[in-house]
Amino acid sequence: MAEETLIQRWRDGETDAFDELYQRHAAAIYRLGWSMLRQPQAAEDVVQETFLRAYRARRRFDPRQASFGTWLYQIALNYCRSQLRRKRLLTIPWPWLSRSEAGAAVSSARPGPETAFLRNEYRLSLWEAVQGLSEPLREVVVLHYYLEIPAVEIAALLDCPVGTVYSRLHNARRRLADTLARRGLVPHTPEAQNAP
Amino acid sequence: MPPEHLTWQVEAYLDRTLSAEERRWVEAHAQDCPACAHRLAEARQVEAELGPVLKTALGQPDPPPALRHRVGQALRREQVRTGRRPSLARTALNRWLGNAGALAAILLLVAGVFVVVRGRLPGSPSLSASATPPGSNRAGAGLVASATALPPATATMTSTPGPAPATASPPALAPEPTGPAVLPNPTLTARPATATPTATAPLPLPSPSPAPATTAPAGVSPEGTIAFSFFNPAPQRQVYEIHLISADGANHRLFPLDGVSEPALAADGRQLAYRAWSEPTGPRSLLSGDLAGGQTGIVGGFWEDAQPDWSPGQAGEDRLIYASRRESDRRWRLYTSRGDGSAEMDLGLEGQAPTFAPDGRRFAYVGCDRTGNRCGLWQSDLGSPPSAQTAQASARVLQADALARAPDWSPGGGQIAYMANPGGNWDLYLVNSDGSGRRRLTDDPAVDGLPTWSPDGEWLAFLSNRGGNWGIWLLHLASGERRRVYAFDGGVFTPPPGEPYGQRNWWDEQLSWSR
Repeated sequence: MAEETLIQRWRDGETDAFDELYQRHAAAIYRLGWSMLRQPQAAEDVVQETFLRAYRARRRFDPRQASFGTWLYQIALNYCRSQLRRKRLLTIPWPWLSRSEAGAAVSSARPGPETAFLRNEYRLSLWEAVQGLSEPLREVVVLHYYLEIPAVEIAALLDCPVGTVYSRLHNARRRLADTLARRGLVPHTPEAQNAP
Repeated sequence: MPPEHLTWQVEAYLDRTLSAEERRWVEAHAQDCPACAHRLAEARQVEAELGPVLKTALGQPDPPPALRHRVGQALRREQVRTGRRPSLARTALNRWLGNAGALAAILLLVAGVFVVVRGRLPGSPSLSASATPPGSNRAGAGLVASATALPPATATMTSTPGPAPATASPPALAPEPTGPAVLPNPTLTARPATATPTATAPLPLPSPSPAPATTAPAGVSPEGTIAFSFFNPAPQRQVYEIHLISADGANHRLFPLDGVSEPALAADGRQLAYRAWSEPTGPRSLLSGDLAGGQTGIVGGFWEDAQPDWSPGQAGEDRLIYASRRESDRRWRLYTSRGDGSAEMDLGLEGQAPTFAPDGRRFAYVGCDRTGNRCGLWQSDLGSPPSAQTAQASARVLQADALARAPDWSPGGGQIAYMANPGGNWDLYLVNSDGSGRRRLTDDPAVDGLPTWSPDGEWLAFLSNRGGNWGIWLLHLASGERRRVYAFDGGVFTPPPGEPYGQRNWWDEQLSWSR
């Protein structure tokens, strides 16, 4: 069934339409909540609050401005941010990738031991560097690379120009590369005048 | 006007949102600009790795099945609350069966879902294991696991005979410090044991002194809570634990989170900062919280953050100072933040083992000057408001003793206790806070270290292997009386080298004493 039809029926209060919409979008919202708040219970709350708030605001949803999925993301993101502000003490923001997990992440190409170690170190350092990013930069990195949301949708989600999203992604990646370069895992960028 | 170097265009290029013409322009630019070509290649590599790394680290959990029902119920409550309950009549079932039939069907459906959910998750919360990403909800799990209990089993040990060499360690700020008195690695034979450890074969130590009498000076009784940590080698434990005792040695209890060490009690005795080592108990970082293991805040957020010390709480300030090797050069540096980890500040000072003065502004630490010389005890001042510039400008050496470690500033503010190893044996020392009046407090052939002041400033607690058995000892400064208040019974165990602890020894820990 077309999403527009489902949304229309949900607007009218049909519970089976909700079931179908939940089926389509709950996992993405849950992962967004999980990536932001890092607690399973909190991620469940994100899903519930998102659908509740969407239901309350369902008359205001305008499909010409954003897709239903993006609209839900927007609601979820705002809720996550408010939770982070309110419950900072109770939130475990970021987990650590253990060495064994990093080892498991080494590609199946089975490189030689040294290469494997380097890749292992590389990935560990990359993860550590992501955790060291400021919140706005980390947010776009997670939205784009973890949740695989296209930059155009992130722009709609964050209510900013797409150039701003690319700019944040660029700044984030530059910082990641700098961290990796300081650890000797990638070469430094050649010096260039006026390089931002 | 085209940019001199590619910036956001790199991301747009990789994201394939540029037009064909724009893509050609980017490629042509990169051919003529080595820096941009490098950026493009670098971006490709990072981009290829970022997704897999994030998905591995964060996992890709699905919501638990029961959540759908829960959200549906919440929506129905919302509908009732807003007076939209009649809209349920528009459901397909309603259309087919009519209102009465629909109500019955809904009740049956809800009951069925309940049965199914209960059947899938018997006797458990809605979070099934498969829906719980690795490393999640750790503090809560640890809290519930052992809120008050002592470890279910402890170990007795037989150790490899041999003297414990007592050689001086390299300067404190060397990237990989090694210790002066490496204890022989014991061979452990653990057994399910009684509630408290008992010694069957204490560590062989060079000329252990007999245990002194444990009588206290007449009319003097220490008060407060002492926190210390050690590695529990029992097979079913194999973790660092933080223990708490009353200053008279009674009321021994285990801090409820596992895999934690380097405790620092706040002055009011209600908050504890500590180093958490592994995911099962929480994020690997410095944490702060109450003594029940709850309300944990993340301090610093790096693996390498260590050695916390609380501001004594003047003017209600809730501040921590700590050391970390988080930078890529692995050198120890000093940081400060609020107790919940907010407002962190890199003090721009290389050093470790920081300790606050009672004013919560001055602090002492183990450090060297900018050239790596004059290593020893240093002192600085955060200023008000705290500022890295003030701290750097205020730094001055107190004791140029490269073997000084573990300083602790007295509650009265006039003195600093520390341990040092000038003659090949660790002993306790005292120096006035202006660097004058250094004096030795202990001269026992046993190891004495990790001093911490009592809240009233009359006692020092320290770690010692006097009498051939490691334990927590108290020293009454006025009378010189010593007493043991806790026995490790079996020795101070070191964790096996490797993750998550690395290579550690007793001097890597710290004691803390508060009201």
